[in-house]
Amino acid sequence: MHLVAFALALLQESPAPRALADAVDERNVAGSFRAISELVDLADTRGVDVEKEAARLPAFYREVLLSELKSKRVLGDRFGRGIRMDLKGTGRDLWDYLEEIGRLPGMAVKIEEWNRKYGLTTPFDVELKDVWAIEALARVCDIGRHGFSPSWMDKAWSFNRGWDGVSKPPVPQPNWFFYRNIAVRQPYVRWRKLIDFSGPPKWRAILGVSVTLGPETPAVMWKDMKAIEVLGEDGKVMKRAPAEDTAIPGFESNSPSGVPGPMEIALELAERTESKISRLRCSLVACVPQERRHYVIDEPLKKATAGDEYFEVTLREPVAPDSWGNSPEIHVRPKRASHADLAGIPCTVLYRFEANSGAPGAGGFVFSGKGESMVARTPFGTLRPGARLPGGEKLRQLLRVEVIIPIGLQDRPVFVEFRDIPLR
Amino acid sequence: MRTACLALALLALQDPADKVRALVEKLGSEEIAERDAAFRDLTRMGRAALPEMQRLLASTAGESKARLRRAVERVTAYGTPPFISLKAAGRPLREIAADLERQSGIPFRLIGTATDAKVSVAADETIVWKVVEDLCRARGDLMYRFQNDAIEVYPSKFRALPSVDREGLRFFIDRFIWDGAPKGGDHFRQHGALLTPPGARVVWIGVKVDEVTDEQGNNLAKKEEGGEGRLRWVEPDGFETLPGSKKFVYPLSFHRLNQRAPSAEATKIATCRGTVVVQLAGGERILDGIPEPVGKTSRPAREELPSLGITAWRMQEGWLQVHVAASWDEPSVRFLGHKLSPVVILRLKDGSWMTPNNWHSQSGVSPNEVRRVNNILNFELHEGAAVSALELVAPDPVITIEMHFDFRDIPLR
Repeated sequence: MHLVAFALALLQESPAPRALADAVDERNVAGSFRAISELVDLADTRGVDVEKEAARLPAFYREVLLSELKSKRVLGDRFGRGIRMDLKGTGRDLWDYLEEIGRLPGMAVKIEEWNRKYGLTTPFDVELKDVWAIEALARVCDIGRHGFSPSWMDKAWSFNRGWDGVSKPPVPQPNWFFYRNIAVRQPYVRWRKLIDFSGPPKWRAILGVSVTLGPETPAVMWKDMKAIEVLGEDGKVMKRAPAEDTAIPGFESNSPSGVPGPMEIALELAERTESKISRLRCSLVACVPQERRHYVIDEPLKKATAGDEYFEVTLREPVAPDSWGNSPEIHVRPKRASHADLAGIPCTVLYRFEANSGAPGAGGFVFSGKGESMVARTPFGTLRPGARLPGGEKLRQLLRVEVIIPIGLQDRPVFVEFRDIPLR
Repeated sequence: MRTACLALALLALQDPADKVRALVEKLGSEEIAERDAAFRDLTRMGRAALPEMQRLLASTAGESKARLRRAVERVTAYGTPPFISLKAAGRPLREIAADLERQSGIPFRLIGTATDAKVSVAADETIVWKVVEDLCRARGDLMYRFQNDAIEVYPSKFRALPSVDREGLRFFIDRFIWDGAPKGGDHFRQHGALLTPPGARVVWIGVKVDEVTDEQGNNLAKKEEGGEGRLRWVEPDGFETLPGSKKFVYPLSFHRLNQRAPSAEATKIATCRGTVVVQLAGGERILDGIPEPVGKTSRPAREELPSLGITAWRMQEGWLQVHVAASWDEPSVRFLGHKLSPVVILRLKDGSWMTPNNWHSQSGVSPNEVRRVNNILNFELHEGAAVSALELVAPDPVITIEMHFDFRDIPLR
């Protein structure tokens, strides 16, 4: 009896799905996405009600909600928390604010000594009320002129100083989109006039979208950028630029062609004039691994292979030095998936060379998908102690390699909405 | 009529060596027209005729020999010019493409519905690029593109690319691009390509753009402040185009920072004018050589220049690695001009040769400079390959072609 009463009390206290669905409003982007986030959390206990309310939402927000419900089911803990917070301070420095944010679950920060040594020391004031934790992070980093990025290895945020990290506040605040543990800076716009002899030349405005996900959702790559709606200043749909044609495809030249990339949106305009995009709605998909497999080759001279049921990793001396010199090869043979299916997936490699050789400690490669195995190059060196090139040059010895391969990639679709992006 | 047909058929069946001999004989004709025709026909025969032409060089004398030598150099430099003779109306493109492939030696790939597109062609000794362009233009819904191993024809709106042809070579512009950031600072890019007969021995390409002027008189190719007024773009290819190469496309690009886009008032590019300079190797001069280099411990470089030495070598899993010391100075390679430089090649006993996978293009040498290359070079040897020599060679003679282009009235609106 007590339990039933407690449950009823809980139901009365939490916002009703109906009220949250009503809060989803085309005129209020931040409010709509916040209501969607709460609906997603509420679905843990009232899934049927939430899905029923989804049917009442405008098409775009309905798609977002249904996608979010699915992502949370699929990703579990890797979906990311939607923590909100207040952040207030007077005369505190950047690192002080970041440490406070870092105490929240899923928001750990890793502040290096050199961050504090070379970073901004000028104290500043902040007053943020009921914002996403990632929003607080972005806002203080903007004022402190620091970039922030998630580190999957440390499961924490790391920081780097911007090019003018010593600017004194106040500084102009960039426009952002925030949702749960997702931060998207207003797309950068570049212009392109193309004369390709197919008809009258046109200007193109190209929008680059870059998404930051919190460390709980360790994306290894992005795919499937889709512009859902792009409206001009007059509220009309803006024309998407067709794919560019070329008579010389596939050639890398000294001058990159600047063709819009897969994570960019190209719009076609008659002239380059000052205007704005009144509404941009787009989606893209993060690939989040279920786990990362580690393959350690500790003593390559004794055993140059490591493997399990997923991959076999072999370290080999190169057949011939290439133009960069002698670089031992890492052969990665997939056992469960075909190499072609792994194309584009980035992997991490940790190295240990002989002491004081000046060699890097980490690197990586991306599966090419060509052939049965991936062949990656380590930095200049050798597996043989004391080895020299035919010219007599001594080679530094590679002592240990650890290859880290993400597996079981799952989709985490991300929806983004911006208003009033200036085109100039 | 029947006799004439029979004669033609016999001519077609004639042994190529016999045909070469007959044409070489005509190089000594007292009739200028006959001499010129023989020279043209020999060069049109291309690489297939080269062994017999080279054999006959030894036994030919006088002016005929000089003409034959020029023909040998020309075939060495240009390869086999892909001229097409074909007449067809409303035939499927796949049939036409098979003909084009057979006559030009360049593979064709047809994409999607292009395969069954009905096309008409009328070509008489016409270079293949023009034939492909004409048939796409006539259809309007087909376009061509150059991959490094084939010409592709695919369904797309036809684009009339500005081009200039000379002696079987074509230079074309694929597109002009102005890339701009929100706060100004546009970047100008021009992408194009040089097309050559397959396997032409291209050693250097230079392009200078004198003028890209809109009808308001603004020269879009001129630096706004200071500096020289011409766009220049140079992409030397080294000495990598081997005799057996099928390479026929050399993409080129030009990029200039802070080059303003045409003004909103401009309606067209009135003039786009400049020159493409192409240098081809008509043969090679051996500057220094090491016979049978595999097997000796080393061979020091000579004191005098040019010189080639080997400090060490090894064979490993099909790769020959040679640590070479190559040197030259300006007097020893003066015949190359200021742009070109020698290259190390590995000669095999079957008569073929190869370049190393890691010889970087060297710039020309200045008058008081001694250029020294001290590097490990890698040659991938196929099974059973026998090495006869390692040589430092330079293209000689260098045949230079200047292709002037002057494209007018390119619309900006």
